[in-house]
Amino acid sequence: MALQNENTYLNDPESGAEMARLLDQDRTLTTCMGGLWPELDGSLDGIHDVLDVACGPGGWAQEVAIAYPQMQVTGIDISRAMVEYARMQTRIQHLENASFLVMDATRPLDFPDNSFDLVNARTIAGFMLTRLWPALIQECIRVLRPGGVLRLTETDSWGKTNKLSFETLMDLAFMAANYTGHCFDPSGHSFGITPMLERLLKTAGLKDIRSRAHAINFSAGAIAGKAMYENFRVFFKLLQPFQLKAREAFPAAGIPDQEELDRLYEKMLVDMLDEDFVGIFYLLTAWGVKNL
Amino acid sequence: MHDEVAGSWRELLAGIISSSSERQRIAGELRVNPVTLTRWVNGESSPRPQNLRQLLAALPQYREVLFSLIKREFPHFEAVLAENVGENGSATIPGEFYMRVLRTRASLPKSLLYMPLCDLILQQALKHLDPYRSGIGISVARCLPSLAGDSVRNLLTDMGRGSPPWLQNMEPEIMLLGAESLAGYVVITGRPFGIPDLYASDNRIPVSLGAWERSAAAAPIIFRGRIAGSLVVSSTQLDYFSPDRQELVSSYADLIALAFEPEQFFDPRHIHLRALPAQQVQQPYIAGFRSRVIETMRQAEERHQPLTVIHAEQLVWQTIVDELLLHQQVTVAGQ
Repeated sequence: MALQNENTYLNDPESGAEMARLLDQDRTLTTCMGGLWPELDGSLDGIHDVLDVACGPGGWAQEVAIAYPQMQVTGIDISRAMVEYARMQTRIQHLENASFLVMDATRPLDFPDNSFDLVNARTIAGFMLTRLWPALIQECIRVLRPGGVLRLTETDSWGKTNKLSFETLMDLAFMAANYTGHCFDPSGHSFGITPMLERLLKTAGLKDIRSRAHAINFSAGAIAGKAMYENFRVFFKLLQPFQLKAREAFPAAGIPDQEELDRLYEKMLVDMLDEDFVGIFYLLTAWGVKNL
Repeated sequence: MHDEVAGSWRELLAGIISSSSERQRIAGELRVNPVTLTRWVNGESSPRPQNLRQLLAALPQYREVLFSLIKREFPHFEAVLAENVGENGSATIPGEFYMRVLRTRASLPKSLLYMPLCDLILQQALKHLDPYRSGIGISVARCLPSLAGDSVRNLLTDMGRGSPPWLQNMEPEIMLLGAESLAGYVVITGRPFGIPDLYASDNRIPVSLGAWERSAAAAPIIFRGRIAGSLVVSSTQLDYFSPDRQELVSSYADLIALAFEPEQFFDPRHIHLRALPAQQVQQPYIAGFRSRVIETMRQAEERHQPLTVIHAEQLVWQTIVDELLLHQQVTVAGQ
């Protein structure tokens, strides 16, 4: 089938525009969530080796390396282009404590047991098929040292708003994502991953499991408004090839054609400029500790 | 004082941070965990070059002895301190980044060319020009043709990225610029230009200053002798733009030319930049930008001549420029 290949990411991970978008998104999320790992601040003493799973262009990993020079940060991503880009970024910033490797997070990780003190993954539902989550979490636990922390941050949807155009585009994105096996939500209207996170961590055998919710306001005039507007402007355009492939592969899904997607896209841009536009992007961080 | 018997910078630091208040203060200034300082002292880890620079800045009373002790362990520290972009041969843009930009450009639809490509290049330039986060703001000022389309009277900065104290995407910095600006000066002359001290009284050109700016450099965005605008970089540091860095600013300006369509480059004979009012005068006009774009699109829809957002935005900016120039005329006439 057209959509089944090694890469299950919704957007083209080799695209430079996607790299820039992800870097912007990394910075926006980190700022609006209150830091790189706000829930762990004050308990970082045992953390020396950090793994960032599906690191993309390496924004989060580089920020950790800069803020915590005593730590060694490793980022992995399936995209060679993303990894090469991240490596170039570390060179020009003279970062010696960050490294990046090409690795498929949906397969066994190429690290020895007990290699890391913290394993992080943020917003990976875009490429994770639901059936792959348990195996990934087991792999993360295997490479964690006893007492190490596995930290997952996910979202069910990229935002809830008061605009029909935005919601329609989002529904269409999830219609395609649901057909390709990315959604826990049985209705297919969202990833449905956040209610699953604690359960997945618990089932995998972690202890001291906790979670914290984050809400990023991207309404007109809000602090994240401009950054998220730019983000969606690129995101929904880059998503179109995936949607059109899904339309071809699943004719019964009712995914519209290019012309209708373009019309909705233009309407969404106008609606997001409207002064009465309101939107919130919800995320949940769940984390747990590997038994000693 | 702790420097009399210290045999290494780590020993010196150990003495200084034996005071818990000093330990907290230094950790705060370096933005590291206090435990990190202890690890450095114990030799369990080593700081990055920018941490050492910050350490020197945090301990001015020990600067000389600390500098000399650091050089014992890190013989190349002097070069790093004076550094620029020359370290690790990074005075030029990596070839792989050119490749990345070209590939991105080839794959983007026309409607999406400018912003993502600019973003990609600005983020790279930001990290390249300021690897140690001393604070720079970088923005693209692009030529905005008049409503009649026959000339360029001003520049629009609508893409910017920054490291603190600048905001990430510099939204509040969005503004219209004219002949009064550094961005305008390099567009008019068609040559790059740097200002080592923006507060110096002998500056050749008048510049409007942001709260943190101490030095700046700009380079025109040119293709086939036509100009699309300029790339402007500001720094919190005096004299930040060494020849290497100025060269790098020009190289990134050359690269950003790829984010523009051919029709966005203008013959220098048609560029007649006017002086625009200060940012605080512009703000009330710019504040209503969003609603004006929507209204413009609504009116176009009513005329059955729908506009894209990008086109509507351009029309609104052009109208705002007309209003600002009128404001300027009225103000001058009233004086």
